[in-house]
Parts: sequence; C-alpha cells; structure tokens
Amino acid sequence: MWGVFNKVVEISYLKSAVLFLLIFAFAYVLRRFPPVLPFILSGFVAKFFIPSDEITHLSLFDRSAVFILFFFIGLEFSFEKLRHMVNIWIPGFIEFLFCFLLPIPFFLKLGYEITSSTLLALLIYPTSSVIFVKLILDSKRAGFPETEFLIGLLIFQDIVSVIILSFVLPLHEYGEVDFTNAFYLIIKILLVFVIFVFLLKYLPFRLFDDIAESDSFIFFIWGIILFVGFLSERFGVLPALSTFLLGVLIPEKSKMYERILKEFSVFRELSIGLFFFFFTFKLDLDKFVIRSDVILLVVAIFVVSMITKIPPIYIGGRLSGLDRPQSLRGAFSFFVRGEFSVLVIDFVNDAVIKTAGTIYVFLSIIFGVIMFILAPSISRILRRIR
Amino acid sequence: MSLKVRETELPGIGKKILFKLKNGDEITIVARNIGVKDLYIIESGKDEPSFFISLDEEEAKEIGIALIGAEYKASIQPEKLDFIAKELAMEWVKVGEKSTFCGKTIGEMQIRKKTGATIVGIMRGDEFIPGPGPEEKILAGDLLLVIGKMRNIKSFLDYCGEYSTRW
Repeated sequence: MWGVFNKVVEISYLKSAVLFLLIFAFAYVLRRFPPVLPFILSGFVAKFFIPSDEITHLSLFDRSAVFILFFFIGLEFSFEKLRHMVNIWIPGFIEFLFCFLLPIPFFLKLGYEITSSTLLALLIYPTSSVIFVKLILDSKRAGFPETEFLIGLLIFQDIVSVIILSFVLPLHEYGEVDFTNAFYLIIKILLVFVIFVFLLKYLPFRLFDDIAESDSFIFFIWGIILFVGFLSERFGVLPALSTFLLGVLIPEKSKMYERILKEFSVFRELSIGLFFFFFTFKLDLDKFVIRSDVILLVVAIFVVSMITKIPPIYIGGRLSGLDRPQSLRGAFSFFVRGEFSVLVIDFVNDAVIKTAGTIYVFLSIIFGVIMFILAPSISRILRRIR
Repeated sequence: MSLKVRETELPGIGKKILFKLKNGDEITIVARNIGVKDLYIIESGKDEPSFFISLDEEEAKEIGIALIGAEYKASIQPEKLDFIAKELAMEWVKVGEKSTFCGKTIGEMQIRKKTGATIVGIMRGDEFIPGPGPEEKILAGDLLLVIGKMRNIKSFLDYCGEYSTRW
C-alpha cells in the first residue's frame, strides 16, 4: 500500500521538478527575447502537458512569488526614495490623470460598469518596473539623463497602483459593492497603514542588525514575508500591499537592507520568473473567449494605453528640466506593462476582460520592448523633422 | 563655471553621480548595486552619451587611483586598497536641528581629535563642498560625508547628538 502511495506522490513531485526545468529551458533558449516573456510562454506551454490542478503543492511557490516580488518592489521603490526624487510629484499626477483617470470614462462609454472600467484603467496605467529596470540595464541607459525621471515616475506609479489595487481588487471580488463591504475594507486598509506608520516610527531597527548578520537570517526574512502575506490574505487585505509596505519598512542604511539586496536578489529573480510563469500556467482556457468584442477590447485597450502614455511623459519630462529629445526618448520608452496588469487579470472574473487583458499583456511586453529599443532613434528622427 | 557634483538614487539600479565639468561636458557614474560602475560622458550640448564603459570593482579602483594622481599609485596598490576598504567605513549623516554641531565650525568642535572620524564632504542643498576646512560652519540639515574606522564613526554619531542616517 505504501509503495503505491509513494508512487503517486513521486510522480506529482517529479512533474513539479520538470516544470522548473522547463522554465529554465525556455529562459535559456529565449534569453534574447524580451525579459519575462520566456516565463510567460513557458507557463502557457507547460499547461498543455501538466494540468495546473495536478500540481497543487506548488501553490506555496505561486503565492509566495507575489509576496516576494512586491516585497522587493517596496524595498527598492520606497516613499523615502520618492521624497528625495526631485520634481516627480507634478509629472506623476499628470501621468495619473492621463493614463488612469481619463481612460475610465472611455471604458464607461464602451459599456463597462464602473468597477470593470476602473480595473481596465488599472490594467493600462502602471509601466512594469521589473521589465523596465531590466531593459535600462541591458541597453546601458542607466546614465541617460531621462532615466532618473522615469525611475521616479515608476516609484510614483507603483505606490499609487498598489494602493488603488488594494481597494479595487477586493471590492471586485465581493461581486456586489455595498456600503458595509466598502466600509470594512477601508477600515482594514487604514489599519494596515496605521501599523505601518507605527512600525516605521517606533520599531528600533538597529536591534535587527544582529539578526541580519546571522547565518539563519534567510529563515527570518522568508518567515516574515510569508507571515505578513498570508495574514493579510486571511483578513481580506491585498497581500501585495502588505508585503510592499513590509519592503518599504526596511531602512535603507541598515545591515538588513544591504544583506537582502546583496544576497537575496536571487529570490527576487526566482519570484519574478514564477510570478509570470504561474500567470499563464494557471489560466483557465475554458474561460477564454475569442469573439469580436474581445478583439475590439484588445484594440481599444492597446490604443488607449499607448496614446495616453506619450503626452504626460513628454510634458512631465519637460517640467523636470529634460530637453525635448530626452523627454521624447522617455515617452517612447515607457510602454511596457507587466506585474500590476497581471495582478489585475488574476482577480478579474469577467471572461472578456480576462481574455483581452491577457492578450494585451503579451502585446504590451513585445511592443513596449520594441519601442524601448527604438526610442533613441525615434527621438533623433523627430528632432531632425523639427 | 565651477565643477558641480550631484548624487542621486536610482532605485533598483544603484546610485548616480553626475559631474558637470567646467566646459559643460557631463560625466555620469552609475554605481550599480552589484558593484559594477558604469561611466557615461555626455558632451556639452548633446542630449545622449557619446561614450560608455562598464568597469568591474577592481578596474574602477585602479582607474580611481590613477585619477587621484600618479604619486598615489606608487604607494597604494589595489591589494592595500582592499585592506583599507575593509577597515574603513563611510557614512552620510544628516545633522539634526538639536545637534551639538549646529552653527559651530569643524575646527571649533575638534571633530577629528575627539572622534577619529573625518568629514570629507558636505552636501548643503544642491551644493557639494568637498574637503571642508576647519573654518567651515556646520548647519542643521547638512549632509556630512564622514569616513573613519567603524568605532570612529560610532563616536562621531554620539558626539553629533541629533542626527539621521536615514535621510
């Protein structure tokens, strides 16, 4: 009896091991492809060989990938850093107006109700910081004058998006939005922020220096991230918000910060890979609909998301002291969407939005990367025309 | 026009240090979190770099030594520099309003004598004051670049009174 039981377990675990090897194979063979695209493709291919419901024990990887990814975003893109980035608030608000607020009435006009329209606007608002930073490093543009401005905008977007998502996604999950649900959600999120501010002000982080030097520090940090993530899930608060704030909490000039950034970056890479892999691996293809209204929505999202990005980035760049070519280069480099859009799609129940959103993420990564590469040439051509 | 230095964070990437030279050219060093230093040169009037090079830590140290001056190269070899780097600590300290340093000069406070640490630069608003002399007055809100052994830095912080290293 034990022999049979063991065989069943072994096969299931073996399949999990194969999944990891498959992700590696895709990432290695397609290493010249745009970042994260190999992970998305590997998830899509893997689901035809290994149904996701057979690999239920991988759910810890799946969920912790979200926690760790947003923990690292918080760690690197904190309020503190935003405070020190010059002239980013006004451009940030302009971009928020163009790329988030303006598209909402557009989607309402298309016939979507307010929650769906807000979700669609959220789908197109944040540029992917994960992909953008990788592109900047790969293309050796970190020292370009506009990079500082664009990174500042990314921080602004990430903070705003994670806050809006923490309100909109749970409300969307409730189905019907009523006053009681909304009230309890606001109270819970406010409580999270109160705890965050309290810890930020009063937690003696120097006490953690000893822990940070310990060999077993990894258990501490893993434990804390998982604890915060699952606890907030348990209380109906978006774990991405809590783990993001946990990352923000860690003081930049501390041993803990240094150690996490230097030694645990490998987990960041792992979580990025798994996050995008599970995005397509878990897709329920039965809920996928390919109809004319889906195609129309894809076209609408795509066009709106591209058109609304150029003017605010250009204007914001000029306001921040960049010259015309630098602002243009920035505007054409900022199309790529990623982790936030995936988070939205994960929560959406509507089949049309889910299908259109998934196709849109694919397209925006491919198009966004191409535009990022072409941005310097486009900027030069436009300068000559003028 | 004098040399202007501006240091900013590039979250997710590292630190950016921009040197605006007297002739209008700009040299940007991006010190990445992984230790690599990227160097860009933007000529005056141009909107994108005309030169880029990526240096690993050892190359950056060697070039740094050469830039300081040939006479230092003879006396400080990279392996010695490694040793010094392990011994030395550097900290950016923001002076609080109630700090004992406020309104007093470096000489008056006898900082090096009392703590063993040295203030090698002061960031005041957008202005960077490299190698401040004993007559330099310290103001609330100044960002002091302090070097010394770890214990010297600790005594410096104690002596400073109200400060912040999380600015």
